[in-house]
Amino acid sequence: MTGRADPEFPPERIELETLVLRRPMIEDVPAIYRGWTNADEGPRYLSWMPHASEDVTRDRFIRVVDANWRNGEGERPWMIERRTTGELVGAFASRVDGARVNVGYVLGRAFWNQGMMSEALMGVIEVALNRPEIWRVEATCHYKNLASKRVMEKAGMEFEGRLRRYAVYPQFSSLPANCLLYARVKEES
Amino acid sequence: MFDAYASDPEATRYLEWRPYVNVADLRRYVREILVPAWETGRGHRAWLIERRDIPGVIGAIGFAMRHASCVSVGYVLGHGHWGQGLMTEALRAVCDRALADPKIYRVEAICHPDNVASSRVMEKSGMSYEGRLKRFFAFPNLGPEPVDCLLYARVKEE
Repeated sequence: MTGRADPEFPPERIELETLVLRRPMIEDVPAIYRGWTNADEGPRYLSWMPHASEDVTRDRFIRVVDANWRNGEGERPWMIERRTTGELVGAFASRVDGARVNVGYVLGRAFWNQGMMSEALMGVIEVALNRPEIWRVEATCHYKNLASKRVMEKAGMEFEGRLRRYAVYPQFSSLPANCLLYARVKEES
Repeated sequence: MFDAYASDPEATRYLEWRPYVNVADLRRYVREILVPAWETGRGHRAWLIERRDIPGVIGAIGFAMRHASCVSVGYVLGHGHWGQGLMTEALRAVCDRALADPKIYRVEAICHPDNVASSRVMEKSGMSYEGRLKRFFAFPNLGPEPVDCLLYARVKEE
């Protein structure tokens, strides 16, 4: 299984039909802040609070994930870039745990309802499940987040269960909320 | 520990580790992993289970923080002690204590779909079934491929 030419998952770059997923750079900070980490443009169903300034995006996001990419561990998100314009539209996170990959995503409001996140999620799932060692890609969303549910269903993920009191969405409450778990697997057992 | 459950293929069948073949390996695990976990307050921390009326270890129950508000638990009992409600008593107590912590809202556990005894222990301890997780975990005593798991959880009262 090892000794192949393919890079380990996650690869630094994934090329899709209209999008490119790539490792973030420090130069991305203004576009990230403008696009989805500021309080006005960012979605509300997130596991983190909006950033007060570009400095926060740099120190709490880019510096942390850049270290993860360099060390090859922990959450290694990609920037989602539109091929035609080169603009950043969102971010896509993946965490590998054994044969499982847990994913999460965020898209700037300006880019909603254009099928972009479905394309990104489908692309990541295909790359992940083509790896011999990965059997399962999973994601959770807040139980009221219909847009995220729809993206997961369009990407071929199946609903597996409602996880009570599972995760905190700090823009709604400091108490953990009920979440929906979705997954797609290599083949049914 | 070694005699009571850690070397017992039946007791460890559905666990995430293989039964121990020699005491030295178990001793190294206790010294290098289990005791330091308690000392640092990080990683998987397990209690040994004894009966009040009969001296000696009969099993273990442990937990790890999944994240700040969620605990995952796992347990093992020597097969000579099955069917007496002992693990239900232990698991219920661990859930009660965890959920009494103001920071913790959820205690969860998974088991193999064929592990009916474990499902029953979770249900009797007040946990509820939440879903079947496809290809979630590869049980080392059963084979190399990840198989489906059943997810149970108990949460803080509203």
